[in-house]
Amino acid sequence: MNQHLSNPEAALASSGDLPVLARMRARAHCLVCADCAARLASFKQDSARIRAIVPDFELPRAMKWQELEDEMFGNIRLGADVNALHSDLDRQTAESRLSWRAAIAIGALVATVMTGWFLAGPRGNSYMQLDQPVMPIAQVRSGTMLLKADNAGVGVESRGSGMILRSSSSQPSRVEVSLEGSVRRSSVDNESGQITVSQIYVD
Amino acid sequence: MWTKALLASSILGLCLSAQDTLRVNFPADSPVAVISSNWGESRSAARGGALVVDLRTTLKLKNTSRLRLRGISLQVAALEVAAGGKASVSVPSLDVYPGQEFPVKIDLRLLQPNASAGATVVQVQLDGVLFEDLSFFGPNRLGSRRQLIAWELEARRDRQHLKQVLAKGGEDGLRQSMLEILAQDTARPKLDVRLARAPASFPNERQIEVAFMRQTDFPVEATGGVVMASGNELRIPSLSFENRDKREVRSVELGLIIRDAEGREFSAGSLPAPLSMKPNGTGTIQPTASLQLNRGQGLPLRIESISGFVQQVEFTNGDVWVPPTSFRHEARLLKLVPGSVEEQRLSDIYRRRGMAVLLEELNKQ
Repeated sequence: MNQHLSNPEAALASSGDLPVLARMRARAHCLVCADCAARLASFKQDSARIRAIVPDFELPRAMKWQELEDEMFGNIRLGADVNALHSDLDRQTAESRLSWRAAIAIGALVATVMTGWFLAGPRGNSYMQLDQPVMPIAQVRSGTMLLKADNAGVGVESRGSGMILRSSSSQPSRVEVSLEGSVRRSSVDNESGQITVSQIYVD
Repeated sequence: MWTKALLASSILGLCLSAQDTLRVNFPADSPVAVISSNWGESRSAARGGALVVDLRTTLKLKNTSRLRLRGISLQVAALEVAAGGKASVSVPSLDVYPGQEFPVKIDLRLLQPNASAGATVVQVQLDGVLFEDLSFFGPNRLGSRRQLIAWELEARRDRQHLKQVLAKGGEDGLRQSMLEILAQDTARPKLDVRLARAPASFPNERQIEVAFMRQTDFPVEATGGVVMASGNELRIPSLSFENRDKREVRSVELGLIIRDAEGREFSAGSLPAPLSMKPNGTGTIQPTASLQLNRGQGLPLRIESISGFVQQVEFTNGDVWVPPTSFRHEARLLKLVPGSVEEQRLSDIYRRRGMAVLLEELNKQ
């Protein structure tokens, strides 16, 4: 009861995403702690601001965690490192919400995916397929050459060979296509704070 | 024992000798010197019949000129990989004092189809550096000069705008602006744009006249253009421009906005093109590319109308023009077209480090 709310807890409480017991504890604590109550109100205020600025800002409910993440990106009052926050949130979700039903469902899903993978067999070599498959944001095709931009970076593939410029960057990054035959991705480097623009061109 | 030795030698063989694989070549008279390279986690690995090479390096560079450095662009090329493809890594919005060192990270993955051929040599060359007085040094093979100047002008414009917001609305006003930028980055509609060489015609194509957003005080005006569209594909046979300025034009860049059948608008990218126009003269460009536009999950977008706006002009005397802040507001482009890289950098500072650091950053230059 006397323990203050951590920033992730306050963020989750403001959007009503804490589990029932934790939510009750947070509410009870806020009744006696003006600091935590003010912090929670501040989270709510910021998320209301974003919604006021972008009235048509709606994401499918299936993307709840993305929505939460987006709110946090806009929530500068935290002043906390967003990556650390995300890992905290992921851990909390895993720890507090995994029921036996969910465990069975996940187990079944994993079995299905594994069976599908073995039946389908490994795919051909593509530098984009070496990591998690991702939806391309932009593509430029010129003859046998394919330029791609996605969340991993920008890259070029041709006749089985490929090159990708990756970035250890914060999100969101920006991708732009130039119709003369190039794809560009700009992002802010997590460590240096520098903005880096990676660009791939067709010769 | 022998097994362990064999294993160790295999691992050593797979660990990349990055010095042999990555060559950094700067001109002898370059105002930027390479101080060191950190080869960190670079390694190669055989996967099936292919060789995957991961190159992660941080180049430590030094500004050896007498001017403050504002931006740098490096060309990255791997001759044996994806022949015909070129890449660059640019770092704009820098403020490096004479004698100061600064890092540039390169994180590259290469895939070679034939593992036995050995690792590809990746060459990193200087394409250009820009200084505070907008002077430029470098071979400019990738057109870095125009791009670095445009980024720097946009950075000055946006910093000036944010300073005005701060003067007028105080910290609350600045906070509001930052939240708007962050929200727009998240909410901006995304389009999967695929570019290919334009065919002579599409089946069942129809002609759409391009509507241009005009401003009387712009140096170049787009005067006419048509696109041929069929479903989610379009090609642009020609676009006409008029130079209203006294300087001769070398190139223009046009931004394109697509409206679909449901009335939604999307940015379809930009069209930079060399275009020589005498003062008060006219010119035409004939893009050779066609576009295929899809929304999320590959859903085709039915193109209803298209509009364009001039977003950059380069003159033969080296000057570059970018639109004023007011244009993006008036033309309601904020929700569709990403802002400058400086705006992105400043909003990231605000998001991760808060208002105090942002204020410090704004007052720096």
